[in-house]
Amino acid sequence: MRKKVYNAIALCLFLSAFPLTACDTPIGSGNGNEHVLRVASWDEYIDEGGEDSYKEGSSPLYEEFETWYFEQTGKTITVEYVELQDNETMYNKIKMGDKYDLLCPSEYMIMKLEKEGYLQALPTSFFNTETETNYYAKNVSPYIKEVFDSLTLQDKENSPMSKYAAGYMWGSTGFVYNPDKIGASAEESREIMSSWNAFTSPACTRKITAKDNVRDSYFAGLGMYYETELLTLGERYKTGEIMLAEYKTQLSDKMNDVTATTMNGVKTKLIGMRKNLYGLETDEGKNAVITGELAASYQWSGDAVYILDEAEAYDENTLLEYSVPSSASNLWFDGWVMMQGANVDAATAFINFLSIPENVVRNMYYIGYTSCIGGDEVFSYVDETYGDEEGDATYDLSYFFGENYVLTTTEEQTRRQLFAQYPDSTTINRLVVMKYFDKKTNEDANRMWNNIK
Amino acid sequence: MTETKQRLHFSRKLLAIPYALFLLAFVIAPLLIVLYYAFTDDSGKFTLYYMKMFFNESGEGLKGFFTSYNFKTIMRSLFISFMSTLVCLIIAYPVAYIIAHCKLKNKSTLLLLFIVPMWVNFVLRINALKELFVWLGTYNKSETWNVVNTIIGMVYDFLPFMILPIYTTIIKIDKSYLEAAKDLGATPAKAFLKVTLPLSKAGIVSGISMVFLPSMTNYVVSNYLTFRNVKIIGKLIDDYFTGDLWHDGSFIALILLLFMFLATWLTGGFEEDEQTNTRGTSLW
Repeated sequence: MRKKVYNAIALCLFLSAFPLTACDTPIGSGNGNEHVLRVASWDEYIDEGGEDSYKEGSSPLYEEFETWYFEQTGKTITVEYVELQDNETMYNKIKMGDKYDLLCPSEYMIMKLEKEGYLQALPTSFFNTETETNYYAKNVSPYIKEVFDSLTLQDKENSPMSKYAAGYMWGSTGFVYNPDKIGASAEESREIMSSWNAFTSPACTRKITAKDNVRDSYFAGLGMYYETELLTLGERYKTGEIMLAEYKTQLSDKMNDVTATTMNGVKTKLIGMRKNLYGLETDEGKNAVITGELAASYQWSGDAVYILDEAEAYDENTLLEYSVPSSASNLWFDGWVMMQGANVDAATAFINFLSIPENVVRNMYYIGYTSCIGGDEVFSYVDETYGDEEGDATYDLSYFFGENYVLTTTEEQTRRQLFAQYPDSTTINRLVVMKYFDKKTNEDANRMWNNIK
Repeated sequence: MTETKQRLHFSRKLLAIPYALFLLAFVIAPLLIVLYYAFTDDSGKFTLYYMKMFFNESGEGLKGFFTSYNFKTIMRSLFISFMSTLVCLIIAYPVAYIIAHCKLKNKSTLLLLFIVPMWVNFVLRINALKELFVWLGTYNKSETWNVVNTIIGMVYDFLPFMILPIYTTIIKIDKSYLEAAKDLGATPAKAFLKVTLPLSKAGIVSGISMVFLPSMTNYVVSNYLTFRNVKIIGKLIDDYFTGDLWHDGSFIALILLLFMFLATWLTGGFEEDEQTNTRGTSLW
């Protein structure tokens, strides 16, 4: 009898181990199989063709890539396009042994994956602007290029983000709000929503939501905790006391502060915030703002554009606005990275294919987010969407597209979709990339947040 | 003769193999994994650290635990579960009783009315309920309303699980018992209390465990109906898992398991009631 029990336990351990080992061996992955390209990305994060596409009735871009790749190289390829829920799901899948050729994680997950040795550097030939088909290298925005070059991975020298990642979509975080529903006047509302303290402001009590995830909340907490210092820094930069580089470094240090004292201060701020909130959300907030159930919500810029569009479609009198806190905010991006053992040729070709201006426009139209790719065609598209010849405002986008790219638009757009898609040239200076939490910090921050929310 | 009997016996045992395999792979193995994660650290060494983190988050020892966030979450979950189960029972018993005793020819049609909602995806139903609360103006109105709405959501979701087992036990009760009670001079109320109720105990117990246990963890309901303002223990576990804190999450899952065992034990779920086996077992 006892032996039987042991056998049963042994069997179940064997069974439980089986799916794990099965994952270790690549199933049709890039490892060894030249004809399959496994791509992992997010839901609705590529032009999927059909009626909603900019090019109506077309096929999904990942399918068009198969034809394009054949025309370019004479090789056949099948793209396995996998949609994952979030960075954490992607990380867990990879940790369990799933293999992909290309991934599209967010900045902090790229840092984490690289640190843990899952990634492979992009080949130097990929960045050669002489090669005709290197659409990414030729078209990437100078601003994105600079950000990617200045971000170091693993705190190692000579290991910038750009060595491993090619930018896909990017943006800021901020508040989407209805200026009529917060302060006494629209002006007052704008004033309130230009600060992180909107989260604890009595004007926003039970009218505002935050994100139900530790990173975004911690960042917001830092914003509240360091508000005065950050604003002083901004003043010192404006008066010329410190240079831009110095200003940016100091902002980045403050907004990545995870020391125990700071975490305690952040905790106090977040407790105050939690009491003032309407609730926490990951996706539900979008709809609540659109229908007017909610007056304000902390959102990523890409979702903000969607909310602004939809709210207007829902009720044409609802003109929501987007604001980025005046002290500092988050610069986020998703980038294409290759996993170890990836099919390098096909993977880099895929990135380049998505960077062809025509495809960039298609993606931007379909997803509603902002591409990391610049260039004339993209600028024309932005102009076509937001430009207004008779408008009374000029909007300087030279930081992104290069010199003399200035848009004429309406004053309204400088607070709405255009601002959400491309922050103006002063806002861009106070955007900070939030680095990944190391293991200890991640545990502390999660425990802290889980015990107050 | 004996040989054939043995052979038959043997083949019957074989029939249990698929379920045994299922049990091993999806019940026992995950349980062992949870246990392993709860008491080991990343290097696989035995540790009580996560137990300590759970009970002593505040750093004030066990005394601090009773005012801690974790404790409050557990109490809240227990309260919501208890109330949901109670309300389910109060609604389900009369319904099951009436259906079982009604004179209609096709009782199953009547029963179907209560089961049909289960055919619609439950996230959809909860969303619809949310819209109803918004319309009524009670959605996310106050902390109390949030708890009330969560309980309503749980009841809405789990009511059929309470009705069905009770109905099956009541309908299987031999009518002659009731007739005998009547003959011996029992009033209908007394007959119900002395005959029907005790004989349907198995159904009630089964119903309670079908409702109480899942409503402690079904955080989709509380998330949707309260804008994440009511947090139950299932959500707590999920938060730790999404934060990549597998050990903490596993330990809380163990605490939850403890509650499940307690609940099953208290309702007599472990008893082998021979009476119920011969006269109307539960549906599940």
